[in-house]
Order: sequence, then structure tokens, then C-alpha cells
Amino acid sequence: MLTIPIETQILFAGILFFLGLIGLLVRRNMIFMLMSIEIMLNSAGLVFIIAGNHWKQPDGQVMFIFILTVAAVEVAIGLALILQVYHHYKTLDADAVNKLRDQNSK
Amino acid sequence: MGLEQYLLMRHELVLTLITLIILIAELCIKGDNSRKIRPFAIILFFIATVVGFLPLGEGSLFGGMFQTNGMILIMKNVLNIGVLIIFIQSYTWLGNEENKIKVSEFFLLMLSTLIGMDFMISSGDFLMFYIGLELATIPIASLAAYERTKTKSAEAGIKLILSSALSSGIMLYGISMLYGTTGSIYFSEVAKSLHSSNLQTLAFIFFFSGMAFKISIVPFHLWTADVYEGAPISVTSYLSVISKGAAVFIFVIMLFTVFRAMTAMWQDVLYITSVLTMTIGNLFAMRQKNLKRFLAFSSISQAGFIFLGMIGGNELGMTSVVYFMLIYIFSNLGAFGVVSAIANRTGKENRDDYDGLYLTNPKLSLLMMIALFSLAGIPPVAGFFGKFFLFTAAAKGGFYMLVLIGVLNTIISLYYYLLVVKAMFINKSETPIQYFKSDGYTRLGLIICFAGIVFTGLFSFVFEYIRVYAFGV
Amino acid sequence: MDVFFYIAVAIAIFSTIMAISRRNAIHALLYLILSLLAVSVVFYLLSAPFIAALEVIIYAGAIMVLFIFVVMMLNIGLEKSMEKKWLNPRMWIIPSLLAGILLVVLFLALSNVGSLTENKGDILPKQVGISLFSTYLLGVEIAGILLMAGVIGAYHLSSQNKKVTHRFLEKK
Repeated sequence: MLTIPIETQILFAGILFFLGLIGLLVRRNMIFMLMSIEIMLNSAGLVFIIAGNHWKQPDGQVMFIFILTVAAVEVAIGLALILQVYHHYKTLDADAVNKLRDQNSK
Repeated sequence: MGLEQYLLMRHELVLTLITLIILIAELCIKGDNSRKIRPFAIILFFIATVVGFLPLGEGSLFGGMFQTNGMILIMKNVLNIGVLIIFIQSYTWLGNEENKIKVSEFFLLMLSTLIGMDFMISSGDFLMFYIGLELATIPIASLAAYERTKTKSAEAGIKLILSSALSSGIMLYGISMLYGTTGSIYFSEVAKSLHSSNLQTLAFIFFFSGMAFKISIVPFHLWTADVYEGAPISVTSYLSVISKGAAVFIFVIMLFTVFRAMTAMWQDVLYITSVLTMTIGNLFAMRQKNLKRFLAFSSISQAGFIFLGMIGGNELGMTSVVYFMLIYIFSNLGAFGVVSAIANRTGKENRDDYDGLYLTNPKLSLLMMIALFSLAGIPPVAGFFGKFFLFTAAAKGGFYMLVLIGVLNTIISLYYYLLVVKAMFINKSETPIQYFKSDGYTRLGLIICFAGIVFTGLFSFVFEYIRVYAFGV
Repeated sequence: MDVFFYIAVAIAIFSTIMAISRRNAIHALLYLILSLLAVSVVFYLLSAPFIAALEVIIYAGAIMVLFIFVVMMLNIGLEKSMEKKWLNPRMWIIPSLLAGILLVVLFLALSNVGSLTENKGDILPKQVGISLFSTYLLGVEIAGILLMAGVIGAYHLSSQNKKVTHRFLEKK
């Protein structure tokens, strides 16, 4: 059994979460943005497992299974949309894919 | 323990049934006949809406995962009415040549998001809430990218999925911290063990920012205008009314039940964000020339007003929020209906194009005027009462300064709503939009909106009816 | 046991940093898979063996393969000299070294704990399954609707391009 306090464990999950958030905000390539969201979801799931282990309940693991399902659907739709955007713009740069804002700021 | 108990899930079961029927009908219908799904789906959904109004008791199912009561029932019915209007309004647009091969997908995806919203509103634990929320969001992203030939549509889709995935990720992290600190994912248990420790406050902030994305509250509103403009009008009206409405409903329920112990803290958060949202939404709305974008920013500022109703935490506040949402559905859908009727016919969406509209299309301009007046909150129309009750609820909670800011913002908002009215009635144009006669479904949708705006404003029993079921902190 | 946790977490954090800072999408994805493997070791240490397996099978297996598939399809981040780059040891030595450390950790953890059943703190897959299909049954049903909506949405988004050519040809 681990003897690490739960706060430390949650802290590690928090580091992963913020790395995902940083990735999402810094990267402009949409594939990377979607990947960063996966990192965030995964670290939220990690907190659920940590908490489930702490309280000795299966609820945390059940929640993780659902997060997994949702992540799969999100990625499927997200990648389909990325293909669609690539088809139109020939690029995945989030700054280039900005016709809506550009035409209005003129 | 008979099967009758599952009648509590009546809304969800009926909707699931309709979804499956449409799915099977799509498989059986061949070739060009797929357009016939439209009246079929609308009639089915009309039946579902009527069934929703039958009386139903309260209770919970699945060990408290699913709960329902009078208030939740009203909220679901309000959403149903809105979706019915959107279905009727989208009839013409779905008949376009490029949309005819995928008519049923539109209904299937809309209905599955509605199922998600219904489950979300009556969820009794965070697991149901999270799945309902995702089911209510992810399919809309593929609907936003519905028109494949349009570049804008694809852009709207990707922006929506990225921002909604970000927001639900942040929210999920907040929920996971709540679970970590309380040891339960059930609302009732979490509410008991909340005591505003640092971690729980942080968890609430995370949860709030996720919610704020969905309701498009400043500073989480950046996606709104682009997505609203790029998506097809039916999807935009769905996003601005139904999606937002469902998120507002569950948010108000959760603030009043789950986060009851943190009332003082969330009041501060709501105070700041509501002031920011009203003001910034108004300032940006003034500058917009495209009407879809204009309505997007106006809907952002309306969300700020909704927070005025929540902040008092009293039962009058909950009533006024639901009542305001009902009026907002009619007024906003009325405005979007006119924009959509004109865009379908002429492809024009800018304010300048509406110059002199009154001379050629008087009925459309009158309806647009009433809808905009209702959004602005000018006395004889329903919107005035909606805003009035929101302000009363905030004043009852002791937030007089906030009410003052709200009134000031209402006055500012009058300016830009009147700009559109001025364009239609006073401005002269060399090339006005020619007179056209809309088809039956478009007219039906607009008449329902018109009747709704007049009806909810004139008869006070709507408000009293909602108030019977409301509860406070 | 604690030391394994720290090692796994260190690898997870390091490879996540690498994943979000790479220019090349394929490299980033490989680092991300490594990060997910490290997290799955953490799951194992947190007495959730079933979730550890799911993490590898579904996350690192299915979802990441979807990503790689799209990256390959769009040909992004791949330059002409790709072949040469792949043979360059600098490109793969760090990921494989990290993966190797993980393997050692997993091996040591397995040999230290002994058999899983002795560990009473574990929440066994059986408990998770019972909870999933009794208490949270409704959630499973809604997840089914969500997956259906996902299938319809993805079908709707990806089937469109084909149909255009199809109809176009028909008109001729």
C-alpha cells in the first residue's frame, strides 16, 4: 500500500491537469489542442481514482469508466471535425482558421 | 416496485422512443423521400410536448440518481416548447437541396441532445450530471458543422467542440475534487459535507467556470459569437436558447441545493461575473453589423441578467429565472425566426440589408420589433415583466447596487435594439428586400412566438403557476 | 511502494511536457502514449488494477491510435527527410529509455506486492462491475445513447464528401 498522503497524490494529478491546460492555451495546432484536452480529462480521472482509493469505494472507478467513454466520443467527433476543417482550410493552425473573426474586425 | 415508477422518467422515455422511431424510419425510407421525415418528426415531437404537460408526481429512481419534482417538470416542458418551435422553424431550411440527404440526422442529433439535457436537469448525482451534460453538448458540435459546403460552418463546429471539451474538462476536475473532499458523488451527500474549505472553494470555482462556458458568461464567452455566426440558424437558435436554458436550469438547481453551504461565496462570484457579462455583452453588441453576431452578444448580456435572479438565492429568484427563460425562448426564437426567414429567401444577414423592411414586409418587421422590444424589456411586452421579476428577486436579496447596474445596462441595451428597429422602419434604402410570402411552417413558427410573447406577458397565472413549485436556498 | 509511485509520476509529468512541446505530431503522440502508460502504473499502485488495464487498452490503445490515424492521413508534421529522422537515435532514445524505466517499475512492483488478492485495500473489478450494473445502471444506458449520438454525428460529418461526388456523377 502507498503511504503517500492524498494531498500529494492530488497535487501530482493537478500538475498533469495544468500541463494539459497549458498545452491547450499555448499550442495552436488543433491536433495538439485535442491532445491537451485528453490530458486534462485523464488527470481528472486520476483524481477520481485517487479519491476512490482514499474512500475505499468503487464509485471513483465507475466514474473513470464513464470519463473514458465520453473521451472516446469527444475524440471521434473532434477528429471528424478536424478532418472537415482541414478539407476547407488546408491547415490546422487555429489562428489561420479564423475567418469568422477576421471578417468582422475589419 | 412495479413498472409504473418508471413513468417518472416519462420525458426521457418518450424522447428516446421518438429518436428510435425516426432512426428506423430513416432506414426504411429510400432516396428522395427523406424529406417526408420532417412533418413526421414534428408531429411526433408535438405529441411528446403535449404528453409532457400531463400531471406527474415527484420522486426519485435508481437510488437517487434520477430525481424529479414539479419544478424540474416545468423546466423540461419549457425546453420542449422551445425545441418544437425550432423544429417548425427549421422546416424550410431542411428542405433545401443540399440538406435533403441528411434531414433525419438533424432530428436525431437534436433529440439526443435534448435527452441529455433532460437527464442533466433531473440528475441526482454528478455522474448523471456529467454524462447528461456531455450528451447535451457533443452532438451539437456536429450539428454546427452541418452545412458541409460552407467553410464557416466547419469552423464553428471545431470551435464549439474545442471550447466545450475544455469547459467540461475543467468542470470535471472540479467535480473530482468535490468527490475527493466529500467521498460521495450524490448531490444530497455532497451538500451535507460541504464546509467551504480551500479545496472545496477551488472545486466550486472550477465547476463554475465549466458552467460559465455553457451559459457563455464573460470571461468565458469568446467562442459564442463565432460559433453563433458560423452555424446554421436553426442550430444557432438551439444553442442560444435551449442549450443555454438547460445549463441555466441545472445551474440554478445546483446552486440552491448542492452548493447551499457556500451561498455567501457563490454570491460574490455571481455578482462580479454578472456585472461583467451585462456590460461587456452590451458594449460588443453595439458594434455588430451581422444580425446573428448581434443576437449572440445580446444573448450574452441576457445571461448576465439571468444571474440577477439567481443571486438572491430565494424562491422568487428561481421563479423569475424560469419565467424569464420562457419569455426569452419566445422572444429570441421570434427574432431568430425573422432573421432565418429572410436569410433563407435572400441570404442577407446584415443590419444594413434590413433598411426599409417595413415598407416591403410589414408583418415580419412588426414581429421583429415586438421580439426585440421583449428582449430589451420595454413595458407593454412580456420581456419587461421577465426583467422586472429578476430585478425584484435581486432587490429582495439585498443587492440594490447590482439592480442599479442592471437597470443602467437595460437602458444601454435599448440603444442597440432600437438601431435595428430604426433600420427597418425609418431608414430608406435603394434596394430593399423584396416582398415575399413565407410558407406555412415558417409562418406557424413565427405566430407561435408572437402568441407566446403576448400570452406570457398578459396573463399572470403563468408566473403564479411556476411559483407554486419554486424553492430557495 | 512509494518510490514506484514517484518514479511513475515523474515519467508521466516529463513525457506530458514533452508531448505538449514537440513540433512533430507523431513524436508528441508517442510521448503522450508513454504518459498514459505511466499513469496506468499509478492506477495500479492506487489499487485499481482494472482501470489500469482499461487505461492501456482504451486510452493508449484505441483513442491514441485514432489520433495517429488522423495525423497519418493528413500527413502533418512529416517532412521529406522523415525516414532519415526516424533512424536518428536522438528521436527515439529518450522515449524508449523512459518506457524501459516504467517496465522495471512495474516488474518490481509486481514482485514486491505478491499476489493481488492478499491486498485487502484493492477495489476489485468484481466490485466495480457490480456497482456499474446495479447502482449506476442508468448511467450505462445514457452512455449508450451518447455513443449512438457520437456514431451518428461522426457518420454525418464524414459521409458528406462522398455523397457530393456521387450526386454530381448522377447528374451527368
